Amino acid sequence: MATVAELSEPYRNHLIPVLPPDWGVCGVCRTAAHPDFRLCFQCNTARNEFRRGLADVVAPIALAVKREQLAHELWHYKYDVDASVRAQLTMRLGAVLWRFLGQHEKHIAEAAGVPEFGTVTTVPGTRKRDGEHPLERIVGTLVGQTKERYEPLLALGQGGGPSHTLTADRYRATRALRDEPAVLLIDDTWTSGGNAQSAALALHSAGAAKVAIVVVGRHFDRSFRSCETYYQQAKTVKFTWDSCCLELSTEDKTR
Amino acid sequence: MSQPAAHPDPAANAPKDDEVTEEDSVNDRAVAAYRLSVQAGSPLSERKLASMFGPTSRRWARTRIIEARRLAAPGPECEMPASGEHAFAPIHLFMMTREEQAALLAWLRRPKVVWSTVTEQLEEHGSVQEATAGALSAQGALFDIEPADDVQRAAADLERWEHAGIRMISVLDQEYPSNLRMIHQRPPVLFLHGTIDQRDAGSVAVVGTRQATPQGLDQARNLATGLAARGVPVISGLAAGIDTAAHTTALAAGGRTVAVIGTGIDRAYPAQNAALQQEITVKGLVISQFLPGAPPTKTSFPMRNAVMSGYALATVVIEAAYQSGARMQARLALQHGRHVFLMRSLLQHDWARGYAERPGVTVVDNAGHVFDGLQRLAAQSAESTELVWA
Repeated sequence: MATVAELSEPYRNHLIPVLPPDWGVCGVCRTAAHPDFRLCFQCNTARNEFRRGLADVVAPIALAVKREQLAHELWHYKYDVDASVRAQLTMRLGAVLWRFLGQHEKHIAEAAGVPEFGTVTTVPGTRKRDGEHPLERIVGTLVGQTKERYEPLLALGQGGGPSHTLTADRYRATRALRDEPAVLLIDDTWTSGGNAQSAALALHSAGAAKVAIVVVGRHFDRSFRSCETYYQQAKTVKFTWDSCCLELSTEDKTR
Repeated sequence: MSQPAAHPDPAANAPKDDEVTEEDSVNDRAVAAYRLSVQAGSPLSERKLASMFGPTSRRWARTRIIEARRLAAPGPECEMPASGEHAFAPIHLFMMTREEQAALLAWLRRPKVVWSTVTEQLEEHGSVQEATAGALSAQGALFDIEPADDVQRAAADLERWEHAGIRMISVLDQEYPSNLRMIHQRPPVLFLHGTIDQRDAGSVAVVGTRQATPQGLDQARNLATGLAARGVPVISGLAAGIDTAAHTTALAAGGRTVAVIGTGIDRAYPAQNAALQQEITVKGLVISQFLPGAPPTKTSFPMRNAVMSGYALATVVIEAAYQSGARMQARLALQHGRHVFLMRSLLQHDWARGYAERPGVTVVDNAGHVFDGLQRLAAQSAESTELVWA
């Protein structure tokens, strides 16, 4: 039987942490922003369009750098033509999520201002699926930290549009959430935040008091504008399971 | 300081759309339907299969067809071929058609084609035919080359190579090694000479310097003998020194070896290992990610090291200086999430002492230690369905 410790430990060799919020680092999704700004374009647009209802906390576990190992795994665990590859990567990414939440869910709850998250859910895919999404399997079946609290709270709503845009009705909650003080929302990859933040809007709209998002990988394209500078800086920070983006300090974690 | 209203970053990272995947029960029914259609003598097309199961894509159908073909495939060949017996892997029904192979090869030969993009396009489309169709017509126009000409040349070359025992498989082929699929540096195609064996999933890459010491050569021989005795395939390059010692000793002990080379598969580099390369094509497998005829270059060996790391379950470093390809392979293996075994004698080097502190690295003394580590790794990579904390 696979253990979280064995499967997650090798990730320390190649995961790259996101940088702490700063000028040039988005304070929401932690990607590279223009040096004169503290939010990236997408998160700034989202904040301007939706003053209320966005996620209270966003916590990416690591950068999913385009054409590097984590980004590769986050695509192939869903889409590889080889079922054994999908199965192995699902287990590994499950271990990554469990390891992270096991050590840092309390930090995320603190950041959201709640003692704990009573319910855990996932961001549904925006296209019709016939059955269980691999992420649902990870959160609802594999990860001991979440499986007892997992509930598929979201379904596709009426709103369409490309996934990089934020839409209030892309998702709808499957039940009223007035009795839910806090929901932990999991997604595999944050690219623009359109899907995850649309899901947060739906949860808040249904009555959830607090919504925190954990994403395994923050999609990152080194070739885009100032991203290479950010990447080189992030590479100097050692990834450790003992720290998360909500508490990381570059001063004491430099390799 | 407040956020300015006008933001100068209007086209942040490109969006990544979701795609349709599958439900187990629907998948199973689709796989069964395809298998029945094959048994009935009229295999369903991707389009037909997709339409039979509701709002699904051809890509989804393609995946089901690959799974069905995998189920129908004969089991892996477990016996080593007798010495001297030429044992090419059997050609399965689900290999690329010759037309698809030719189109893909012609695409790869086009100027300025980025191979990693080709891999992504193949995986994105799930079909060689669809991925190559657009690329060839667009680039044909761009470079004023008639696509038909280079596709025909590619088909002729493939024919010629096949007569020499060389096959080309793509990342969409059932035969493409699962271990290699799992790393980000997987090449779009592999050229193979010899047999693929399911045991390679649990193989070990043995790497080290060309200027090996007698002690290093002894370690390589002892390790290769021990691995061969335990049925573990030995993966290595074909350079002088540690690579040669690992191959020759494992083969002499009746083991299986796989050579991953940094040139075209029809070349021998260094030339003095031509006979060894030929022997491995008969008793094991020679792999190249480069086009036949490709000469050795400064970049080809690091690329080869990535593939060697990806093909094997783990890497053992025997003897390696700071600047060596063996150390590079250790670094790549860790980036791939693969385990690295360091021979204890390497700890005389600063770099090795640093690596020994990293997760996924074990310092070993002999083949027995490597084998024990492999058993644990194999258990991790087995298709277990449950995860436990510790």
